[in-house]
Amino acid sequence: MQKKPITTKGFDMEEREIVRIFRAYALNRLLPLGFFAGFTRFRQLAVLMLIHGLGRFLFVWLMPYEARLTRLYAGLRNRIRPQ
Amino acid sequence: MNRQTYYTLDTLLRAAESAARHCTVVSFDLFDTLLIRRSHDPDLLKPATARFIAAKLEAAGRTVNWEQVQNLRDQVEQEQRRQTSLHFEDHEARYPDFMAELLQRLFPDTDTTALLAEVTRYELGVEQAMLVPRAKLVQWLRSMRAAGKKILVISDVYLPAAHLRQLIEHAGFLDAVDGVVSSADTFFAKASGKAFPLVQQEYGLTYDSWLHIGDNPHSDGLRPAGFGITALVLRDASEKHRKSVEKRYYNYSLGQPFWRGRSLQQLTLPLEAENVARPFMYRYGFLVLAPLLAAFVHGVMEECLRKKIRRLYFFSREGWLLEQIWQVLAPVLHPASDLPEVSYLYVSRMALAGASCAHQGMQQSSADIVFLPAGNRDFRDVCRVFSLEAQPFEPHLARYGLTIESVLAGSHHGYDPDNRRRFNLLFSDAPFQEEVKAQTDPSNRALQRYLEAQGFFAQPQVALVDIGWMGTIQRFLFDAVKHRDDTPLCHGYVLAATRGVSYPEGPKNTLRGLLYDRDRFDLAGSSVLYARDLFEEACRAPHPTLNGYRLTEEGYELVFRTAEDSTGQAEKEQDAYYAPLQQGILEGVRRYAPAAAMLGLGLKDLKPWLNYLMVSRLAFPRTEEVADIRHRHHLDDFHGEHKPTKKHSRDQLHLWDRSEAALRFNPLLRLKYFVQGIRHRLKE
Repeated sequence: MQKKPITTKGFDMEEREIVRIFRAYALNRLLPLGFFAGFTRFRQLAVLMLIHGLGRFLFVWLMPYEARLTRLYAGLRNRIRPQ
Repeated sequence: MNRQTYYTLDTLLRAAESAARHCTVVSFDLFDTLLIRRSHDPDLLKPATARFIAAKLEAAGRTVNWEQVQNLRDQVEQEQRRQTSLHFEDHEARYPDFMAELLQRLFPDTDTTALLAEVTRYELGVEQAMLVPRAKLVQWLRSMRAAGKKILVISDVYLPAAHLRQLIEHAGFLDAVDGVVSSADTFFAKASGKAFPLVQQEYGLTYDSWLHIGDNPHSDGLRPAGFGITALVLRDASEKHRKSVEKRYYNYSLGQPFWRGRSLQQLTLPLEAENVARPFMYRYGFLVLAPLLAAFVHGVMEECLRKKIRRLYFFSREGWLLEQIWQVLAPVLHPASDLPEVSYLYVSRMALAGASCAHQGMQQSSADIVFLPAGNRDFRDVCRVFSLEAQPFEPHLARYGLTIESVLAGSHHGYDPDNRRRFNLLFSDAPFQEEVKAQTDPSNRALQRYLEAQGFFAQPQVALVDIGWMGTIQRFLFDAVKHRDDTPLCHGYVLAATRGVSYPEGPKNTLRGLLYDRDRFDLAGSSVLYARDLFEEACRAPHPTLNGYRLTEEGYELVFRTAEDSTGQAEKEQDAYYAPLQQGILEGVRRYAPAAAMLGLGLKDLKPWLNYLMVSRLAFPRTEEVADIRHRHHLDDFHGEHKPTKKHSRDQLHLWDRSEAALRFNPLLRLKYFVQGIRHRLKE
């Protein structure tokens, strides 16, 4: 196999580990693979696949609006879950 | 306005290159500018120091948990900040002062000067491990220095400049820096703007020929621009992306134990200039074997501390790498604890098999082990393994209707179960056992002299560490010395305990598999069985195997296998092939240590993730992984050279023995072997 860096451009372990975790998660739903302490949730996998896969484009695009987006997120969170 | 914000490092460097033409001095912020942190939160470092101090308190006979130490640290630091806020605009703190105060409160009536130095050394060591120089920015810094500009580092942090210099030196660019300024020394920070006039005075600078680069829009942007300094603020989208990934794994790990190991591995990933293209074997060692082996050795440490074991021996030859892993982990994971003294013990199944028979004679269980490998067939193999001369046994065999060539293993042509039954009767035959004892006595005495020289009998209990699998080495070792009154209590720890032949556990002799133990049902952990040879090859020492112990007039002599024959040469070739794998493992372990210290994780916390690694890489490997990794030559002197029957050979074919074509084109092959594995585990 050819030489590659260990950290991918999406900051994952090489060979896109998140995809491998997803496949193990899917297989574990059909056949017990072993003890994984509850494994994970589909939503967590989906978010991680999004961040690893598209993060470098999303962050470059959204970074200039970080302050506004943070205020928007905080406002929405307070509305949904008032403190 | 001479303040600009850039969202990528490349755009900032282009602007900086242009701005620096008119400047004589370039100052940089340190953290998150010149140095990036592997973790998203700098405060994650503090619990590691709190655990170090808690261990020191425990050694002094006081039980204070690390959370209490951390809370007190926060309290003392806040008190100092309140004090400085009375006299200074910035609410700064100074690490040596508040840490000295903390230690004084925890160790009253004690001179804590030496302890302060130790704690500082430890915290800076972990901090250093978690910092990575931003390669392109440091390169540009060097080019500015070479162009004759004055280079300054200005940081708002509680570490004094002396400590920052240490961090910069470790990062490798202190020689290119003219001055380091910390708010901890003067309590004048960039945040209030007070730091800039102070630096201007100290270094005789003019604001309009001064360029400042940092990551904070206020401290590194607004404040210096207010003085007329050209300020460039880097809000690196890529760095934000990286930190958000790491933060997400960390947050998930707080709720889902599965993610703890992944969060730890995220902190170990190479960044910046570290992240160069590596060969596959190196990557596999770094990402897969390093966490497995590091967690195993970490688990052994925890067991030794729990049982207060003071002496530990790593068995050759796989213990060679395990010992190196221990030396890397110990100063970081348990720097203040009473870990056992460790050493490397030259042993092997072949060397110990004969010595184990000198007092109790040959046991049937030991002979059963001989016939486990498919290549062993008859009594000549028994003699080879136990280092016996076959000819004196012929009369004894003849009394039971056997010869030295009678087939005793079921996997070979000509096997008769009655032969095996009659062979088993020999173990109760006194003249047979007398011959065995007479022939093996010299090697047993040599072994005892060797163990005495290693301090084996000087401790009430010892830990014996090996890669696995049936604990045969420990079995033979214990059998060889159990007749002595001063034989220590032997705690055996192996990566995986397969217990193919039942291990004779007793009050003085225990064996435990830490990643997999057949006595505890662990389906995921049993994936280790798919590629046992991989672990042996990965950990093996680059010296030949031990053949025996020879009694001499002076004491003893260790007899090693020759490295000059074809098998020895093949091993050397194998060692060269696996060298990148071992390099990757050791580098991965060096990263594992500070990450595990920071997150406070042990073997039990990491087991779910390690289970996933074993299942995904060993039970469901990619074809390329198997093709590139699987051994070319695996030496095992225990194995004879007889060829078993074809049916037996077929039955012994495991997933990792299958051809590349089968692995690539048979979509259900891995599933088939895994389901077979489930059946075997349930039968056990």
